[in-house]
Amino acid sequence: MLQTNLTHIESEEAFDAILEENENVMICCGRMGPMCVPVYEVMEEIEGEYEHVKFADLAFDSAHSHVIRSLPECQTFNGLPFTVYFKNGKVVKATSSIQDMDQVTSILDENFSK
Amino acid sequence: MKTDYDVIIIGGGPAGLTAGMYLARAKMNTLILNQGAVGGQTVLTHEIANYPGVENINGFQLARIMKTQAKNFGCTIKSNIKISNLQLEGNIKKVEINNKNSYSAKAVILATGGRSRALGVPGENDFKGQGISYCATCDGDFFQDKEIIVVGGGNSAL
Ligand SMILES: Cc1cc2nc3c(=O)[nH]c(=O)nc-3n(C[C@H](O)[C@H](O)[C@H](O)COP(=O)(O)OP(=O)(O)OC[C@H]3O[C@@H](n4cnc5c(N)ncnc54)[C@H](O)[C@@H]3O)c2cc1C
Repeated sequence: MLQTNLTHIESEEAFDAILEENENVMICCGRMGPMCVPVYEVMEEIEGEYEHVKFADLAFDSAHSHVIRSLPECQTFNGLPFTVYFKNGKVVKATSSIQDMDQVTSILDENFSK
Repeated sequence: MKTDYDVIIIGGGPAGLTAGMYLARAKMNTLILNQGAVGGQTVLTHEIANYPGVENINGFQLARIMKTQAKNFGCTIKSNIKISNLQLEGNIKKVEINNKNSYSAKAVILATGGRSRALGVPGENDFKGQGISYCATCDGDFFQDKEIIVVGGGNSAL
């Protein structure tokens, strides 16, 4: 399990449920590593401000991480973390490697209007 | 929202957090403003083996402990912010963040540390995570059996 204060996706069923129950979802799939931790920290920081978005993480080395790793949008990725944004269960944006606050919030603002 | 502090520290790496802990323990109202993830360069460090009293620790774990310590002593920490204006003249210094919130203090400590240099070549940002990597321990396995170019010749590169 990742050591963050975010919701952890710990099974394929939990992943499906999150997408089903929330219109706007941001999932960061990574490890507790140098490129991933800053993204989790951005998510923790803005969680209160973006109440219309569900924020969650998923451990890259878990058995169920294929739900993110096998997405067509992630096939060219070779930098952790894989961060994927879903609207009504469909991928609207995916990024690879470290992202800062501005990059994350501009994707959220562009794709998930309040 | 509190806006007046005794001291504002710009930078939340080990230096800024240490200064914060000492100030907060001395009952100074202390605000730490940090641009990125709290912990600075330690967050980018896979393993730290020379911290006295700790044999081996992940950089991010050490950073999280330092952050918790500073908060528990009473520091207010704001991370992922951008300093948009800084007025250091006069007895009361002013620091504005994100072009909106302004804070004042009798003293400002700069603990902005260092940062790694990007290549600065066209396309670098577009291919970040798609062929360009800054962390061997994070992304090395994606490049197994592939030819790679290492830019730089310091300890990390070797
Ligand atoms: C890959 C790597 C491995 C390392 N391994 C070790 C090791 O094993 N042992 C060891 O002792 N040292 C190690 N170091 C060095 C150690 O991490 C640094 O010496 C230490 O982090 C310096 O602390 P600092 O607080 O001065 O600066 P930094 O850690 O650089 O922190 C500065 C902080 O200030 C913030 N900042 C900068 N500008 C602004 C601004 N304008 N506004 C707001 N905030 C700002 C930054 O975002 C950052 O969080 C390593 C460094 C690297 C990069």
